[in-house]
Amino acid sequence: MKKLLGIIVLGLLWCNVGFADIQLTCAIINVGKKDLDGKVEYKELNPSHFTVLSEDLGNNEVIVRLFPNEFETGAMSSPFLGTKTDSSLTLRWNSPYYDKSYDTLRIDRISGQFTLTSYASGDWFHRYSGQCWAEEKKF
Amino acid sequence: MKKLFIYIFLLVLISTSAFAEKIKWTKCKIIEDPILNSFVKVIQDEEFFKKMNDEEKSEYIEKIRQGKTILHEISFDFEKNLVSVDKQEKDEEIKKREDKFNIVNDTIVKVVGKERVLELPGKSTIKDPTTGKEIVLHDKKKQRVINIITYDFSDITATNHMYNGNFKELVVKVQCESNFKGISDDVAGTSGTAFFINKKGNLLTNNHVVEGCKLSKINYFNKEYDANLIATDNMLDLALLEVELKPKAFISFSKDELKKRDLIIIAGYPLGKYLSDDLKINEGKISSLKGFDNNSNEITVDLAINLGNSGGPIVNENGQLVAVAVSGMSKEVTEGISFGIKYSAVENFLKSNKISPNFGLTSFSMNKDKVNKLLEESTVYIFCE
Repeated sequence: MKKLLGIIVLGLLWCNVGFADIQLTCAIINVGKKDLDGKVEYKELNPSHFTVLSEDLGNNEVIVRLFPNEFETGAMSSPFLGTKTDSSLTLRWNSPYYDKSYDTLRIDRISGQFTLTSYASGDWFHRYSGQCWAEEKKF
Repeated sequence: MKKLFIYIFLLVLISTSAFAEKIKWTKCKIIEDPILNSFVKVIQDEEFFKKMNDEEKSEYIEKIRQGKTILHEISFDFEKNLVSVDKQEKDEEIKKREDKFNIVNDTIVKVVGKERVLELPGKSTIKDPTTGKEIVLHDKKKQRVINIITYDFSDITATNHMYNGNFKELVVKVQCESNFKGISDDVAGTSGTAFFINKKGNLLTNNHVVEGCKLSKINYFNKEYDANLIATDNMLDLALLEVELKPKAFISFSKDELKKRDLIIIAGYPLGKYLSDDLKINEGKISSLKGFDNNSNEITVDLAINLGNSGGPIVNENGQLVAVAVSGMSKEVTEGISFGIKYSAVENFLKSNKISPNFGLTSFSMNKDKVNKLLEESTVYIFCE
């Protein structure tokens, strides 16, 4: 309950960040994996944290870098480019190795929930989801 | 008929290009160059460098610097949001490069470069979370990188950062000279913001915006109108004007008592037409019910009032006039300390000049879109012919 209250308070704090550059801390809570036969398996994880730094590029565009804080999130892609609205951040990172491989990151700015999905040949194969909240510090 | 269409098309083309404003940056000098700096650090220990005297050392470094790109001119077209850079590599011809820029705020525009792949020596590896062993994913290490150039009009600098993975590396920073003086008489005193206070076409702005001007003009929905000066107040820094048009909307006065931390919205044209011809709307809060030097005719607000904002309306959440933007403290010393002339002082000024202010209904609440629409339709860019 305490944690939930914390998330709500921090979520509200985040809402007040407005259009400034944003710094968030996110916790991965679930992981989904799709095997070659299309079978999907979801697993709950011990929360594993990473930091999100979003810089305003004007025209509702943003550049976002992810900083893994723990071993579990050690292989995160960066930088993501995308757009920002009052309600969400929608971002994409293109793989330097394969043309049709990319990651997408969507953060709901109201609830703080995020989904980080990896795609290969247009189909997703790995998906992290969890919760983000704002750091009080703006940069 | 076809001919008529061509004439109309050409007319539109001419009328839009007439307002095109270009800002030029010249005489650019490198002020931060981490690659060169790290090179200089390395050669400090080299025997041949140690043997040189100070003059020879600086000559040697200058030679290396000359081998780099020279920026001859950077020009900004705020009509098309295009930045054009004339640059020259050593012994090559001057090349022009054009990029689209995004406006980030009052003083910063950014160019987002194209993503490109950088090949680095080494292998791409990942640690197996279960065994902790390193797994080779690829024989070559590749990174997708993006360069972002930030043009800052407050100090006339251009900074090139390279985003490489989650690193943000400074590539180079240059400082130039500009024909746009920014905070200068170009903008101050000759242009600002005004707003309609009734349907008769009466406008309010600051006295310092129209002072010394033979004829003030406003731009209202892309059409210019002459604005006749009716009355001024030097002490309050207010001016009342009249335009022969019926505005789509006007701003009524608030009846509510002002309180600290009340939410306020400011509309205006900071830095005049040099930034863009789009009305800028910002939010802030009342931080004090007194202005500079205990001036009780003013309020202090926590948002930036830049040159060109002068004379703009400061309204509450319901779009009712709370104050008229008048000045801000120097940005070099303070941040977010600006002043507005209280609506009560404005009301007295209007009554003294036989104009009755319109009061809004206190219970009438407006959503964000309606307030934006009201401000767009009642706030104008005012300039001196």
